Amino acid sequence: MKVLVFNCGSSSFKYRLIDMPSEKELAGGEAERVGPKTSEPSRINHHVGLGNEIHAVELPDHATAFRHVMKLLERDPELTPQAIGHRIAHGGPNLTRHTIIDERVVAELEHIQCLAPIHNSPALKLIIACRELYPDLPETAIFDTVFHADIPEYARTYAIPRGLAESHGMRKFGFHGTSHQFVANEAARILDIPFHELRAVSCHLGSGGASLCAIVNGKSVDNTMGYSPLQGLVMSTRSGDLDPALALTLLVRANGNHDAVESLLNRSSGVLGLSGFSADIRDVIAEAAKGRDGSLEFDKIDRCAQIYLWRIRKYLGAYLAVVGGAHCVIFTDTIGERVPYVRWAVTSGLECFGLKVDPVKNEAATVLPADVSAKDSRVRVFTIATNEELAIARFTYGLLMNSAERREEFEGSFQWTPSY
Amino acid sequence: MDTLVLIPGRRNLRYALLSGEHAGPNLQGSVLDWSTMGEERAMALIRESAKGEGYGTLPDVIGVRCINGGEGFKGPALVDEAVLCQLRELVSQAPMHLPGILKLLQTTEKVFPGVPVVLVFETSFFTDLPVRERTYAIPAELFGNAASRRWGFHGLYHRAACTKAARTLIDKGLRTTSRILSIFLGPQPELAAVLDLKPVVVTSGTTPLEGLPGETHCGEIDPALVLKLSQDSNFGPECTNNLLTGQSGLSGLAGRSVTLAEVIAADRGELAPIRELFFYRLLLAAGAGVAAMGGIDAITFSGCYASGSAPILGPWIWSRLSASISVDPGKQLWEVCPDSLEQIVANWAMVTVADHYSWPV
Repeated sequence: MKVLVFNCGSSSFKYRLIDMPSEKELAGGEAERVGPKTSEPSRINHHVGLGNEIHAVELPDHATAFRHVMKLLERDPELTPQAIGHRIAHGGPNLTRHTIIDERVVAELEHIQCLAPIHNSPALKLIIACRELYPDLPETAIFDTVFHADIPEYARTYAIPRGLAESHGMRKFGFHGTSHQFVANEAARILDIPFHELRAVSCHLGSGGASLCAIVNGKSVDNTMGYSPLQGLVMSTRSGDLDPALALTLLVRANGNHDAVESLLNRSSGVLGLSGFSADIRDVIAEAAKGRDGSLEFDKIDRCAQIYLWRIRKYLGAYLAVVGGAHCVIFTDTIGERVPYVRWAVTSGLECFGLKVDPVKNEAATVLPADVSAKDSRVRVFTIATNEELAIARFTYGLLMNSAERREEFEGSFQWTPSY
Repeated sequence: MDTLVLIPGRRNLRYALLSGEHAGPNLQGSVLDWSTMGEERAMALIRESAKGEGYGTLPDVIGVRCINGGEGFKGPALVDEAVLCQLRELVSQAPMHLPGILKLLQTTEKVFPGVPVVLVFETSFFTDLPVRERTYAIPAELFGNAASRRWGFHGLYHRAACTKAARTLIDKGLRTTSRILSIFLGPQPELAAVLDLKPVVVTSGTTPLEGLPGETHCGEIDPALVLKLSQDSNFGPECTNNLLTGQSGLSGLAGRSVTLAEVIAADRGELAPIRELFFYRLLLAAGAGVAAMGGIDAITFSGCYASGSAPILGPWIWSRLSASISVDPGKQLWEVCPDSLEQIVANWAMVTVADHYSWPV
């Protein structure tokens, strides 16, 4: 089955065509600058195998971009998608399982758009465009929140009046679920233990968002993000944890303008807010490495790095305690995979938890997956490349093959014609 | 040395009269609704009460428990003009409590003339909390460093408890340095990780609203939810603050007024799930504290619920921690610090005054 995976951002989306179950990547690309005109022209970067193409096309909206991508793929009958898997950031309180998309799902997605307007909305637009243009093409919704849907009640409940919480669906949702589950799966494979026995702490440290996930017996039992992606770690532009009184003070100062405060905490805080010059911790670390003489505002930059790292360390300790006897700690995504210093800094001094990173292996970890732990480290430390698109393809394939009706279609030879 | 201890609260003024160090209070009480009757009347009542117990003369020193001392007060302060000046400057930072303290000081001077007054601050212990722990990831220009940093609000208990626990470790020949999880159990519980008698982690924030869930306050919560509550329910910031500080926490979950001690003891029944939630949050904080210190040597409990709840919490925390940290069962130390706040304040007052005047204590 050729599964086309869409991973939507607010002004871009990534796509990949993956053959299942072989997991071979057939084609892929990214549509950039979707939406209102910007300083640079919009385009689609498309690759088939090793060949790269750039298509400069106007992309006023996600639906148009979607049509272009499908046209590009359909030039080759071998690349015609047979199913589409959509990455959806937020499943809300009711979509607690990955699901084949039907009207009920679309309605629910429309209903919960406000929960994740920046991420869910573009994906929803794609889904609607696809259903319109290719009504016979099966689609699935694979949610970032599903892996955490069943975390224990004591982990997902906030200490606010119960009635209020229940009527407004105010619980901890957690995110990056697909990524955490994917790398945890890979870790179990490396350790050669069944996934349903794995105890791990997974650290998805991206250049944008970041979260830790506590995993017991292959299940998520907690995630540092919460009701929204704002809670938890210090991220590129998000504050993470904050005294509620401070949030309220900011609200008063902004004369009750919630959007302004929400924007401040989500887009102007975090590494950017602390460093004053970059949202990327790599830039901050590089600048701090120049030392007090080499760097302007060294104190401010060094402090930014320290605060970022310290918050990760504390949550790592918290989740190691919760998991109890972890098999491994996993680092993944942009920072987790590519910045040895961060892995080193957040784990140093955690020998009490049976964790020790080998500095040489850590620096040398360029080919992933890599084991960066010292030989005598009871808890293994892995750095594993996340692959959300592959995870989505796997789930999509699984869902469609499990759905009896679909299985017939695929076991026969399913023909469909594009209609646009 | 006779010490009069004053613990001003929003509604009540607690007081105690103690003689000498380590002695229990000879006289203890609370003036209810003191803000309505006024400071002078309240202090006069205390003076009468003391006279009634045979303490006709003035006390040798008055110790006043204050909460927020800001960056300026790293320890107790013997009140003089300079201290009063510093306090007035501080008012802008902690507008809730300090004007009351200033008024109280004027009154003590009237009712107990010439008696030295020592101010003892809850936050002092945490003044030098490391920058990486106390700083939030928001632009520095928003508040200025002092106005948006993390504090601990039970420093007096934490310091007394950790000092005692550190001594226990030495007495038992276990360690000369100490990594202690200090847990304050009161209506607003607080955990601090204290490394060699210096705090490196504390669960509270700029206000006691952040951290472990309390009897009526929410503790750690997604900041986006705070904004949503204010927006969706049309509450506005003030109402939302009241909701989160006075109607949330363990009581908010239970749907009725409950105490922390009640919840900790509830191993079955309707409070059991709420106990699970509290224990869980405590475990998260404990794990974070252990990571911060690179290990753990002892757990200490203080506060009004400590003696009742420690026998449940101490072993529970150790049993959970020992699943990820290897500690000898014989070395899983936990203890209760039995000192009352009155005693702690009195001790500080006596020591400060003795230092200053070189009186024999």
